[in-house]
Amino acid sequence: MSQTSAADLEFALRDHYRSMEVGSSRDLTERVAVSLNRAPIGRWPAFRLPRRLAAGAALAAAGLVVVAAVFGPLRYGQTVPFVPTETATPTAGSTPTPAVAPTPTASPQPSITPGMATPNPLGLASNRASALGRMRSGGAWAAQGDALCTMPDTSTQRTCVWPWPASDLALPAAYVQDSNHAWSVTLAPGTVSSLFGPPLDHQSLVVNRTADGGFTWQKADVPGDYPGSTVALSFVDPDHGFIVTSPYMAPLLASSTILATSDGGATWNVVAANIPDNPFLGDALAVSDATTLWVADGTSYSSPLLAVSRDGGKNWTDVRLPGLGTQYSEQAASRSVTFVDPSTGFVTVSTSSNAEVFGTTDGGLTWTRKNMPSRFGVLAGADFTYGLDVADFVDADHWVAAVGTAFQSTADAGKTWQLAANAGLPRGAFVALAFQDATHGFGLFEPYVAPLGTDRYLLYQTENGGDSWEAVDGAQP
Amino acid sequence: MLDVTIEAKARTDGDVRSLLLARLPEARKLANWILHDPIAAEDAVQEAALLAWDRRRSLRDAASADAWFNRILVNVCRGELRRRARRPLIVEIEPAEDGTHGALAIRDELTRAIRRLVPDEQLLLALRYGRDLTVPAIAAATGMPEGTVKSRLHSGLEHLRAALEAERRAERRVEESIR
Repeated sequence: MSQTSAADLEFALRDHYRSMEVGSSRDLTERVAVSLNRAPIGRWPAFRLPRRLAAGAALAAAGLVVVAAVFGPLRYGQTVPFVPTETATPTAGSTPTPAVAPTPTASPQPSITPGMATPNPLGLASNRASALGRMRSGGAWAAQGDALCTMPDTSTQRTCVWPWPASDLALPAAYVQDSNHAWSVTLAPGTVSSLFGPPLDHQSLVVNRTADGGFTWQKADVPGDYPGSTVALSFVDPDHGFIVTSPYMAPLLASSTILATSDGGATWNVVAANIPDNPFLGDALAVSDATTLWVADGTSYSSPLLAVSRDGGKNWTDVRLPGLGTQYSEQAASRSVTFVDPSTGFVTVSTSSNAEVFGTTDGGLTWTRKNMPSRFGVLAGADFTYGLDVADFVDADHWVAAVGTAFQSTADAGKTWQLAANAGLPRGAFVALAFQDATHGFGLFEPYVAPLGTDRYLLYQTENGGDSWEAVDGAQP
Repeated sequence: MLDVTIEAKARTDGDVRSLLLARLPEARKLANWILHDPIAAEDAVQEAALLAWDRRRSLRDAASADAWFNRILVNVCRGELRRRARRPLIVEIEPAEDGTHGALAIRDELTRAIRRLVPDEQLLLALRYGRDLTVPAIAAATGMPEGTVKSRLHSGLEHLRAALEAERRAERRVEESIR
């Protein structure tokens, strides 16, 4: 069993679980029956927290008060100076004067080393990160610890600011337009996340925004309650943006809602709710121009593989992808939608037999199936897999994609693919890619032995198209 | 699968009590699949039963009792897996006497490999290959989007394959050190 095939592994797993007999459960039944008998019979109980949870909640509340007292004033950057990297030349737009003088004891002083970090000789996970994405203006951004870092071009400059209001949603929602403009969605007070979802749950949202590279952040409440919903966020320019919420906990009780802003996120208005036939639109949102929105990655049977609105989110149409139809199913699930310009866009789809990419060059009027590297097909066809893990589209012709550690790239829109040497990576798998051009980029990597904590991924950088990767250390001391 | 089916509407405490007790044997199996520890499984089932009792008002229909209780149990087990993940994983590897892999050795190897996975992967593998749930049913039981379930099942299998290889390397080292 030196190389276990997927079928063997699945068979062994089923056999393994079947063999785990636990014997009689009479004692357990009696014990539970006694416990239940001690509870009052004949009336529904008032809601209460179990004793252990209540004690934990009280401790957590006390802890939050202390944390808020100590760190609250720092949270949105009012007293934290913006410190560009040593190589950055401050510009008028990126170095505003702090509204309040920094407190020396409270302001963390960065020790960012410009450029690529040296690999940690002890092998510690100092390059931990929690998110990686592409900026609309080009380049990449990453969330490392409590810092937001932007890497706008292929130079070795990296600008990090902290603290920033990182998204605390189950599926984090953040969008970075350029080195100055960024938004994140966080939970507002009053949010209740129970075991059961709606109607017990409530989820209120706040959009945090910065227009000065993370030096200051402002908050804006999002109108409405979105229990058990994922949130997707995207902007077409620094002023105009959209939110799509999708209720994954109870798609039959609630429906996707679309909100829009035209003042950079200061105010949000509901554009559409209760979308007919599409209660769960999806978790991936792309905005190809001021009024055209695309949504993918819905995971309910009512979800479209790809939906488009050409009137700013009011009305939605399901898009038919060649050979796949329009609806999500166990056989086909879209994973992402990306537009590199108003005309050129891509949708990645995982199917039960292959990984697919569909592209458009006419603003989404027509979509064609693209060629994927054979290794993906072999993996997808022969093993238990749902196909493409991650992909990034630099422009119409240059794409990168990875399954596990198998990073590949194409310079001719998928006609030919090159498998990179991928030196320097531990065992694990890429979970996100963001490339600045065909050869310079970043990969968010999940090691097989994941570090504890929220930053369970590692950030790597390549300057040679994936032939070698180096760890990018976190910016905070 | 459950061998007791109660069709009546769950309207009284007595009904809920019967529903819960009827589900305990199957629940214990499920918890053991997830936790790989019969004692921890019993504790989890008991905790889930009491939690369910506290929340019995939320059970509207006896027909959905399975999914309702499964969800509570899965969350309790998930919590236990996460607590466990914060403790160091200590495994004892005993080489096979004749140097070959017997069925028992392979099972132990698989158990150790599974326990190397992150909590959610352990959970999903148990629901998929132990409980034989479909992806939508797993999504309902865990509250995860189906796409997440699929991708984590996929990565779980890949990681398990790697963990198995690590287990075998460790065994070989133990065997070589004994020789």
